[in-house]
Amino acid sequence: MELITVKDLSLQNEGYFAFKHVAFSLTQNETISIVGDSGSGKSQLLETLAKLKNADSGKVVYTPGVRIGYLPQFDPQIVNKTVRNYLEEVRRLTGKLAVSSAQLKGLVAYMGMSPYLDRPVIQLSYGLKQRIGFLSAVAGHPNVLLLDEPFSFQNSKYTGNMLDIIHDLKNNGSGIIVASSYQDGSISNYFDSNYIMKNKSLEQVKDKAKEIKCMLIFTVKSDSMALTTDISKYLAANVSNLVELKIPLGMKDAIIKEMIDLNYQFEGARNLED
Amino acid sequence: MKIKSLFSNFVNLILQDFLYPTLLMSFLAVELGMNLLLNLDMDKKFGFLVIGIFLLSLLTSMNFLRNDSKQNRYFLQKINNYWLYFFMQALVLFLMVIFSALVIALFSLILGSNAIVDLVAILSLATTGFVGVGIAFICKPQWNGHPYAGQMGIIILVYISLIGSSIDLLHYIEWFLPPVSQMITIFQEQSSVRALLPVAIQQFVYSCVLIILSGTFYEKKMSN
Repeated sequence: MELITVKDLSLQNEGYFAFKHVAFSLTQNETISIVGDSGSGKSQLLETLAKLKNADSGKVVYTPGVRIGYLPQFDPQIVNKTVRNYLEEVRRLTGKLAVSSAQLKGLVAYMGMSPYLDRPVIQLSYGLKQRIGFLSAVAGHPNVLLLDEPFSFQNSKYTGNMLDIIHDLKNNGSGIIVASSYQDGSISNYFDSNYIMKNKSLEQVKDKAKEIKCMLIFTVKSDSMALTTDISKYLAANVSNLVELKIPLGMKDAIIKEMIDLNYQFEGARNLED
Repeated sequence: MKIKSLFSNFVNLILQDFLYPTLLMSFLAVELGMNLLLNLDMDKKFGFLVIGIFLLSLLTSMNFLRNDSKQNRYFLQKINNYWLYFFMQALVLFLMVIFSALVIALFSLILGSNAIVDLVAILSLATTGFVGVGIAFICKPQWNGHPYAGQMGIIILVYISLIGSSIDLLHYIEWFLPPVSQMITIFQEQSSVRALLPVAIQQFVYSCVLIILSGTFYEKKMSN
């Protein structure tokens, strides 16, 4: 059953498109990944789906009874309550359909938040706040879960635990959309459908092997370090002090940062059509 | 549960940066200082209190709405009920104004032995504060999307609120103007607190209209 159907949705901010002509649908038991560069419009799309923004044209059709859980990439709310009280309050806001108190306790422990239960939320680090945001999005037992950069500031253990919870929700009939600017191959394999935000439009990646690639060009400097194994696998050419890396578009920012850290001079990038 | 969450969130939003208590205490200090230095008579003192509570409520409400637009972007999504959220905002600000009116009336020593007169005086101060809340609400877009229009709106509305009834040209549209200066002129003309009751009712209705208009114009649609 379709939970959300998006038809030709466009949003403009002061004359500039945040995204345009977006069309897709989210069904029960489906996980969708949206990958795109910073500023590509992923967050604005999720905010529109979460009913926080009104689109300029197009339509979002929600199946009656849809309950949306939303994790923003950054929540500016100042919460002076303890983690325990805050999560319990968020759980109660949803009413009877929310997860039980015992289930919430289990989720809190699984996400490694038990030692912080009596600490005020305001005192916690970004990574811990992100986990609290994730737990508060899940606490209402939503049938549509929208997650914006949920894995930021998380180590592989808690990224894996988040994916387990997402998988569990999916198996219980929910539909989940995860937007991120970077995903490694192991994470993208978790999702049923993969989309990419490119030129403000949403395109489905039909075949993960045919994912849209990008060529990054760097010059080698006298103090450049050896390429790491993670980066070497994307090496397309290394001649005359020029290093060319062929990478998935979603990894562009992360790879550029890593190469600059290794003292390579970034020269430019170009998208490669398949 | 939603009402409790909203109430505690909004009270924190008013108190979090100490602007409200600072303004309230500063106003009381200035009022008492002026009273001591200039030995103001009741007409002038009440006029000063009316202007003071109007500006106090306006500035506190503007600060509240600014903090709300910055911090509570995603809180509304959790509440998932725009009108409940909106009415709780107005209610918390009204309660803040009533509290301010009580404190100002008590500490500025305007209360006498006649309970009904005292009640009308407090009510008049409170309804003047409500007009400040209403103006802050109607100029809310200055915090999201229309900064210049919102700020110009505030300047114009504050100007005509305080000067309105003394400009002949505006006499014909007096009912349209924020009824703040009216409160001062009527008290000065009649020197009777009871005479303020009709203006207080007008102020209450005026502020409610502004707030409802603001809620309707700037409604965040919770469904497409």
